[in-house]
Amino acid sequence: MTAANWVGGQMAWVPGFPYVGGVQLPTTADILMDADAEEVHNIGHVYWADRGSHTVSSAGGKIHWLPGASIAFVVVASLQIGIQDVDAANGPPARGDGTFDVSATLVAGVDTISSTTALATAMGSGSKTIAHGALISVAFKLAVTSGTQAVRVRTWAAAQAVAFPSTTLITSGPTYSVQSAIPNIVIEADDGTRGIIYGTVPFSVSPTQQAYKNNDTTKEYGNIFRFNTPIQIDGLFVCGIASASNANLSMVLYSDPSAAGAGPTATATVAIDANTLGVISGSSPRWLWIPLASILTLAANTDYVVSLKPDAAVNIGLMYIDEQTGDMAALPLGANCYGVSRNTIGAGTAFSSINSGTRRFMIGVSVCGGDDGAGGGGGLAMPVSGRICA
Amino acid sequence: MASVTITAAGICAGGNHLHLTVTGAKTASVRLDLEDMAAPITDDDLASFVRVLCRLCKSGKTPAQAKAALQAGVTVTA
Repeated sequence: MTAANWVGGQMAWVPGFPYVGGVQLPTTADILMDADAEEVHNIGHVYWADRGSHTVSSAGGKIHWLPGASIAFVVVASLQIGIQDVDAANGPPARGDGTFDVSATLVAGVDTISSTTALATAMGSGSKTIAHGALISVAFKLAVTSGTQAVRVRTWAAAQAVAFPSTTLITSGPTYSVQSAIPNIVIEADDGTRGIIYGTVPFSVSPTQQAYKNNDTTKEYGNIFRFNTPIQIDGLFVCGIASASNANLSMVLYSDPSAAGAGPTATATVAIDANTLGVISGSSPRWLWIPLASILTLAANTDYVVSLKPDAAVNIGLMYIDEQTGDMAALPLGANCYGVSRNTIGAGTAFSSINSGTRRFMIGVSVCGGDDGAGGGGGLAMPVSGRICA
Repeated sequence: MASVTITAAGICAGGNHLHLTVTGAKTASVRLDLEDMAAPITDDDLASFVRVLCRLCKSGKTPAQAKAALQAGVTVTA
């Protein structure tokens, strides 16, 4: 078997950040319900981690979601959370058909919804078997008898409304308003399998900037990752920022990232002079896309780290999101990709995980090729000792 | 100079969802969360606002007339 590059470059950015992984900055939007019968619907196609079909019911099914800021969920109110089929007879904007096939009801005064504190809401009634790729609405419906209420569902902010996936707010009338938002939902099936709405990368902690410089205690952050097939890469990407024109930085690809002693080994380093960036900022992150000098082959089932490294005692920033325990399985590369850091830069100091493997930095690689399927056995350019071969 | 008027045509029972209508040179129906208005105005927001304002200023004018209008200054009062 031999390596083959796909035609062209900049093919597949892994781990992906659909929609926000581009010119879109990683910010959030809170969709508010503050009156009786107001609803928020998150519409799209379910993507199960194992691409199977799964049942969501009161026998273990949950909806993982993140409330927004400034929550007021007080007596007398309740919030129904569940899954509906999508109304094919009305719209756009898209909306559920009005019938919760499976749901839970949170009751103010009994159940608590706290600002920006992620929830895994266990389903209380109904049952729904959802095939991989099925079109659904994950719906929230507020019922208010009295009191001043403000329940917000946190989403990714979008520059404009998206066709799939989409978020629709229903207010009195009813009036349906598509939102400039990307759903932030994880579905947990009865058997524990996680599913997302395709085109999203959910989070339990909003996108946050890790600021650091080369004389901080922790000097380097990035993602450890592995593919289960050999692949080729031709570039690196990151959502980060230099805080000043002298905040020079580097993107580094390491092999043997967890090995003490000889590892980790910097196999590719791209130095970036902050003067050459389009923008610098102390707070607003930007996307950087950088080609490698030559195509590299990464071995199957082998860990690598891609990091953002400060080259000066001036802050740089690297964006990250966190996930609820187990939810990483539904994200690109699954649990094989998570945030790491180390306090000493240089060979011989291993990277270690952050937040028990539930953090993911917005940094990764550009995949440009793979095995062409031709020839005999023996694997694709399998590196000796798990190192990257150029 | 093009003129548009933004009016809150409806407010939800909770008091935070505004239904805005835009009338005049351009018409639109926009729904906004009241608390969105408390969000800080970023540099990108401001740049977008200026671009739209300049397009409204240009509406119905020749390029020379639009430049003259902008050189004279455009004031937006809310």
